[in-house]
Amino acid sequence: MNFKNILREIEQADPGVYEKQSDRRNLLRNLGSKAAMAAVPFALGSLFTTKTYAKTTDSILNSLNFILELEYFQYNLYHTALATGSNSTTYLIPPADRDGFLMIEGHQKAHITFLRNAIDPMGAVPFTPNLYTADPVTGNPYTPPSYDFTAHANFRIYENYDAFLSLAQAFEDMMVRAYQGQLSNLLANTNDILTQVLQMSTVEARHAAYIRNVRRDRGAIDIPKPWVTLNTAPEIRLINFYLQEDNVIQKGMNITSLTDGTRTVNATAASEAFDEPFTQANVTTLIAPFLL
Amino acid sequence: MHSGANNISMKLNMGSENTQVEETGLMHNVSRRNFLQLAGGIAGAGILISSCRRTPPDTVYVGKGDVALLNFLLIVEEVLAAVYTQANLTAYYGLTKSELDLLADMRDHQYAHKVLLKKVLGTNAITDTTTVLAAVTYADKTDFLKNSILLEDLAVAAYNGVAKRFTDTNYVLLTAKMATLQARHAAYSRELLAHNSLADTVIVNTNGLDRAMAPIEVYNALAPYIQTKFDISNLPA
Repeated sequence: MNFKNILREIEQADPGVYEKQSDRRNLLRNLGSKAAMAAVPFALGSLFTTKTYAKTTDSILNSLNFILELEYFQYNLYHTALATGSNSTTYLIPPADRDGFLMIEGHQKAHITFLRNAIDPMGAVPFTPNLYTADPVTGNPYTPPSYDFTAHANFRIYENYDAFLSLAQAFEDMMVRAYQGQLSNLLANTNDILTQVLQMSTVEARHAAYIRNVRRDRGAIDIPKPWVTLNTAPEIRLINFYLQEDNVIQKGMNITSLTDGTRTVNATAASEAFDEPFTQANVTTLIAPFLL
Repeated sequence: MHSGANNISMKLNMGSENTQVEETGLMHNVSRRNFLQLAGGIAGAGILISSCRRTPPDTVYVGKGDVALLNFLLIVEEVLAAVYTQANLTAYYGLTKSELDLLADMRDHQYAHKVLLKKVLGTNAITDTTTVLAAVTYADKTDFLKNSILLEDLAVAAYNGVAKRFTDTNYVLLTAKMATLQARHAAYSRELLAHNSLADTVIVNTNGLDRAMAPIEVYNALAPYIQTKFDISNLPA
């Protein structure tokens, strides 16, 4: 039983536990890093015998923790890929593109730190990947036992750069959609978190455009553009990442029928001009094959 | 109108510039009409096709509250739409087929955003914005891309900054879908200028956050691109 599983069990027994005062949370954290695991359940038992605290900001915390989960996912993908190969001729990510992917990896790591620091003062325990054993506060977010980005050797991403790029594109486009799907939970705008989540979402969109453009320059057969065209996927088996991206209706209006009197745009451009949200359930289903 | 004098200079210089353009051998799929306009651009005509429609009124009131915010975004989109419309007519030297295709996309996306915002605003929409196209030297790839990057990064910051100011939060969900598209544009133009420069440490800070700017900051930054005088006294701060 790892630390996160223990926390889950406590939450199940006492659903309000993640909303308590920070001194108790700090105690939990210290226990996670310092105490012997076998002793933890007994120690925790004495902390939470009453439910005097109120249930608040559930939806905001759930959203932030979900986004944090995805940022861990993304960071681990890039960190693993960048570490694959030992020199300039065997690198999975070739020298010409490494600076771009190092920047992307750096953004994802910064998002993890930022989100943990946002969630913590709000009275919840920040998400930590399953099978993560280091100190969640001070440890590196790299946690290879938690993920299998090949989905049991179905995606040969560590042997083939183009295969890596296809999957990475689908994940980044999914990230943009996942962020947008969480906005409705953040409209109360507590502590500017709505703005900050939007600021992260546009960074994810930059990543997606970068990967798409790298693939375009490499002559990928789907001829990707930096933006999402209809529901075109890099591979047929990734089509579920693009469901409803061909939408051309915004605010109840068909974009292809709108005009200022000079012209109209076609469905392709109308679909490209807007990214589309994904629910948490959509995203959870998409990433499930890659989690351990 | 500025266009008259510049059109004259374009015609006057056409003969001597023709040869030079052909000799570069860099042009792809540029129609004869575009070619002629491109030649004019090289002659130094900053404004080739003025976006002026009629004599604009002295000031255009953008409204207050959400209307002002949506009109503000419309101004941002009008500038981008005008820039890409012109860029498609008088594309830069060395344009590849791939770049031409994506340049047309960018124009169409901005147009889609523009007409949607106008439709949402209805009778509250501002009249057409007169833009200053002389701010960009369209024939020069580097200058065009630098302007594109500045404007796209600014559009991202505008969308990110405006969200929390909306009273009707449905607009947040709508404009977020447009913001990420602007970020895709920004990253693409940055990549065209220099590979692996999808962002930098000015645009994305150490927390991994893109910029979010107050409407007035964005508006001031757009000043070189706008001729129309707007009354933004009730634009939410």
